[in-house]
Amino acid sequence: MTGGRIGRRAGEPFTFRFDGRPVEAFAGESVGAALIAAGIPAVRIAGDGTRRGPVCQIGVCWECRCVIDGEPNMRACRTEARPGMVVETQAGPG
Amino acid sequence: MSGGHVAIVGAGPAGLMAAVAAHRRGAWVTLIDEAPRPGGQIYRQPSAGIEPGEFVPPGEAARKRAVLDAFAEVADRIDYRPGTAAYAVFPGPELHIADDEGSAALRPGALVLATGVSERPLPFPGWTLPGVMYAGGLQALLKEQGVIPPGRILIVGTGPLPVAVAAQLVRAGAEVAGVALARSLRAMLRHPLALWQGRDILREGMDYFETLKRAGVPVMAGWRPVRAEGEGRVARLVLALPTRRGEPAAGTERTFDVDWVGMNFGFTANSELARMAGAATRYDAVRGGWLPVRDGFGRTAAPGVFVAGDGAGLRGALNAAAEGRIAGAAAAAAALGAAFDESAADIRDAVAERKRLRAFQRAVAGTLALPQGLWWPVHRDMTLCRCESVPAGAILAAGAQGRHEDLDAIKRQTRAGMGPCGGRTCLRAVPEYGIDTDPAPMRVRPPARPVTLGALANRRDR
Repeated sequence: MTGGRIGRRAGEPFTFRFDGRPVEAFAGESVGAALIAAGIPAVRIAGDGTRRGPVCQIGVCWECRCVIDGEPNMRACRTEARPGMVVETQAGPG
Repeated sequence: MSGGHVAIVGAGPAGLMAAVAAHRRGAWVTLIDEAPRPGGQIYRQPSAGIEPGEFVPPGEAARKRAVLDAFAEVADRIDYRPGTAAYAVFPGPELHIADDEGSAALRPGALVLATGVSERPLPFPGWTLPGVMYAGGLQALLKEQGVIPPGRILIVGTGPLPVAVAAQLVRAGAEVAGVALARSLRAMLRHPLALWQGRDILREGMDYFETLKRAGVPVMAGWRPVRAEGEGRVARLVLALPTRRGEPAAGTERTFDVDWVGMNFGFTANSELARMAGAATRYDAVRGGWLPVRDGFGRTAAPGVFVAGDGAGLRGALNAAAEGRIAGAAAAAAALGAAFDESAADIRDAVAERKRLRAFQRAVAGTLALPQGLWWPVHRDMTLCRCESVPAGAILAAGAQGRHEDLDAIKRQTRAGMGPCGGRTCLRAVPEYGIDTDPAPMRVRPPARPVTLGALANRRDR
């Protein structure tokens, strides 16, 4: 399958966890970008019960809000990935 | 402090050039920007440690370099605050800002709002499925993160951005299944003189088409999204040719197997701060919805408040840079209590540049106008307000009942627009339905951007 990371990355890959499973990331990457590179498009469950994921990538739409290290309403597109981070799907207002 | 102090919100081409111009005229400049690096949306820079490679044309790369280099010359002599949101403006002007940890009020002598635009989606059944993103969002992912969504991508929309994004994705190695434009870009050809004035940018557009042709990516004009399908994520996008009313013409449906969709149906101006400051607005469906009214130098009706760039009406990055140079200089004069010399050489240059670009942008605008009936796929049970999960039917009913003396009534009645995005998507759709063709904008209350209570409690200006 095409896609994923292009160009060059500084440093070595590390992992964080998304709903328990390991996701690869590099320094400088947002949580959302690492998830999309891994082919994961959904990070929250809206009030109507439907799954939602990143849309605007610039911090405006808030559709990528998820739980990061226990903190709800964190935008995946605006949060830099760190080794060992625990990211979880957010259900409802968090 | 206000003597000679100019505050600027937004570090895209307009804000960066306003900072340069105001600094050169002797003002003390504070530049507020939400992003960690200067550039804004179009001149977005990669995140530290990531080199995505080059997929924009040399011309655009040079224009970006010119703006960033000009800013780099003054960056350490101004008060540049990345990672900071401007969440309120009160008369004075008094600007309220916050970052992750704290908040403060600034009382500059003049304020330049260079807040740019956000993408406008076209809601259609299934548009909330994960994997359906904005085309500019895919571009931001590419430029800033060096990431291409894995799998097949379909781009849909109007105007020049979908074609540019599709070609950049192809050049970066993505699998683009096609580009579906609601309106042909040929409308631009009716303005040959204007096109000649924008010939450098036009050539880049032709190169994008060439890239798509060589890669075998179909560019389909006149097609519109009908619905997205999939379980938990998008798997198929159905397109159709519309009838005059906007309905899918019988027998024209085409289904594309996709993993991702990038859509862009124009833009909405980020005019919240200007409206809060007291600037008058007018509604312009093509150039961004509610636009602050300003004079030729960016002055609004709010004393000391200037606007520049796409946030005052979509005309592209080059025009934004020219407007920034003008508004930055005018704001510096206002803050310093000096007369503004309209005939200064750099101002005359910027005004001439703006005039040249406006003719070209008028030709582009024709391709951005939404074709009639475009909102047909909006069904009553479809979620229109994504934040609060409000169905389109509820929003339309609230509008149709005639209790919509302003959009605030619809907001109060349905909760549409009360979520963290601030109604940018769902309430912009109201005038497009023809419920009200010239609606007053929503009243903007602080915070115009979501701010944590912790940051509000930790005041740095006391």
